[in-house]
Amino acid sequence: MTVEYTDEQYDLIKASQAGDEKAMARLLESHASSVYAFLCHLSSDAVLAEDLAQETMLRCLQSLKYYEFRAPFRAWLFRIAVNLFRDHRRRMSVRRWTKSGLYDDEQFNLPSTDPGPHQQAEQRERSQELYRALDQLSPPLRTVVILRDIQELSYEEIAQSLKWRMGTVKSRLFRARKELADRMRPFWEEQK
Amino acid sequence: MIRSHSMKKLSLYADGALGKTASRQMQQHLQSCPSCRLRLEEIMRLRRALAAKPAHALPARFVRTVMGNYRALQSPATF
Ligand SMILES: [Zn+2]
Repeated sequence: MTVEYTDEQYDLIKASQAGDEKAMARLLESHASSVYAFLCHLSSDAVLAEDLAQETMLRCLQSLKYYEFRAPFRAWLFRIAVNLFRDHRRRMSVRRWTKSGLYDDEQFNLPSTDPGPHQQAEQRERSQELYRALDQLSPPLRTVVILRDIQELSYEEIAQSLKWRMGTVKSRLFRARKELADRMRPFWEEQK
Repeated sequence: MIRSHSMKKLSLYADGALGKTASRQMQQHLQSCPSCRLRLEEIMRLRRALAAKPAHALPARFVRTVMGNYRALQSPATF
């Protein structure tokens, strides 16, 4: 598979591979936010996400010389993040992972579409319910839905990030969405 | 012609990931099937809500910290 790059991206990666520290910093600048956000969504733990994101970016720099432009750079990077998260999960107890209700309103400032205060509260409640449902998906289902619907990776990028076959990406994404919809349906119907 | 109601196909359709023919068939099916229309609406609703999920801003000094750690590991250990 060949991957298309803008000249700018390509040059930045090449310069970073050659050891140009300014280029490395710029490369990090352009990807750090999405890696950190991804890990926040995946772990529901901002502190852990920061640690893992730091480690992801460090490993990215250390193994950059092995990157051969075969997979999209973002997929390559997310793969490092996913692996580090998996390793971390393995080290932690299962209880920690399945624990829900890790979201608090303080941490996650919800976007204001500026409805009235009452509507706003209702909307926030529904969002929280959705995030809880997301938290309760099994790790593979949660990961695929975050990569697709929040981080907006293509199916191809997801397949590369997770080393899954395309068919697996499609069927797990569908199962994740089905589980979320099943969970949310009562809340949606309530507001009709 | 799509006879069965396939949520998996709807999920692909929502992403624009069905082939041309299958996607045309899905459009036709949707016109005559309220239950699939409802399911599709649900998927789109989920996608919108997830896309709007707020993300934390990158902590200050993040890149500088990584670069610092990188340099520390690159330079030979000095004791
Ligand atoms: Zn149908």
